[in-house]
Amino acid sequence: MNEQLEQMLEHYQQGSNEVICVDEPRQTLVLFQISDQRFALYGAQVKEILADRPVSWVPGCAPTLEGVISNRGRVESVIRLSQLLEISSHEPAIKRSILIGRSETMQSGILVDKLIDVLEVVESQILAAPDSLPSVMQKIVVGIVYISDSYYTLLDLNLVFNRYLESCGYDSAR
Amino acid sequence: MTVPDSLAAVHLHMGNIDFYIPASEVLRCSLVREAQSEIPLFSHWLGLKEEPHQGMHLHLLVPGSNVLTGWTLWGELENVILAREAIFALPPLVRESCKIPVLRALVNSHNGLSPLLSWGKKKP
Repeated sequence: MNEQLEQMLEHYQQGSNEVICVDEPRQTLVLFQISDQRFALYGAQVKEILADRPVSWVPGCAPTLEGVISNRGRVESVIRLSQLLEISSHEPAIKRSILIGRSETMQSGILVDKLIDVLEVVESQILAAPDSLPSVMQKIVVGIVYISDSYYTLLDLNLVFNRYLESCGYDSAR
Repeated sequence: MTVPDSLAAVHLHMGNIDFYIPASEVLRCSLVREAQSEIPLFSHWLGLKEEPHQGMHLHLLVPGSNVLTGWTLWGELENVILAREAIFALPPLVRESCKIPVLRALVNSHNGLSPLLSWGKKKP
């Protein structure tokens, strides 16, 4: 009897007993880019994706607010995530998009330089955010995702909107 | 309570900015005959840069503002009727963060969305 063969067969038998879990929870992510940095939002927090359109300026608002747009009979605010994240843009974006984001308490447009993709990932792909992030990011980042050779910084819209209000001097506890 | 179908308003065009004020709140908007330095500029009062000296030089009086002298401004003025469908409440992020307390709504017109200012009492 060939001992090597027996060992091989035994290995395969053991392997076939392993149960592969295919029902791991998944999350839909919206991937986008601001300047040369890549970010993601939970798909559940993005209601709609709009092509760039003229944004009306509103006086008396923080520079992080690009303005307002009219969409489907509603007026939406549009915030500049680049300003909020303190990312300096080197070149003007050619094909910007506006993501209509919805947190637990409010809804607003978010201006991004480029929409990359909308896809599903398994939850285990979402890693904890590193401690080395800049302080402004630490307040709104909830994880890091590695997709197609790139890392995406995962943001939570509840935290993004809170950070926006905080940057305007608004006391969210009032 | 029936909701009105329209709102009579004064449309001010200053530089590249449009504003609307309910007509019932404007006592007078007349041409400035002689410039008076003690009358503040409307743009400065709103915290904006001074508008270019284009159009008419106007003196605006809004009693509800408690600015007794009123303001001066450069621009165009017209009386308009705004349909209810053209008036929108402020989005939450604007409402919570805007530093101009009299910014109460937005008007959708051919120029995009423009501020509607009102000195009337806000509902709590």
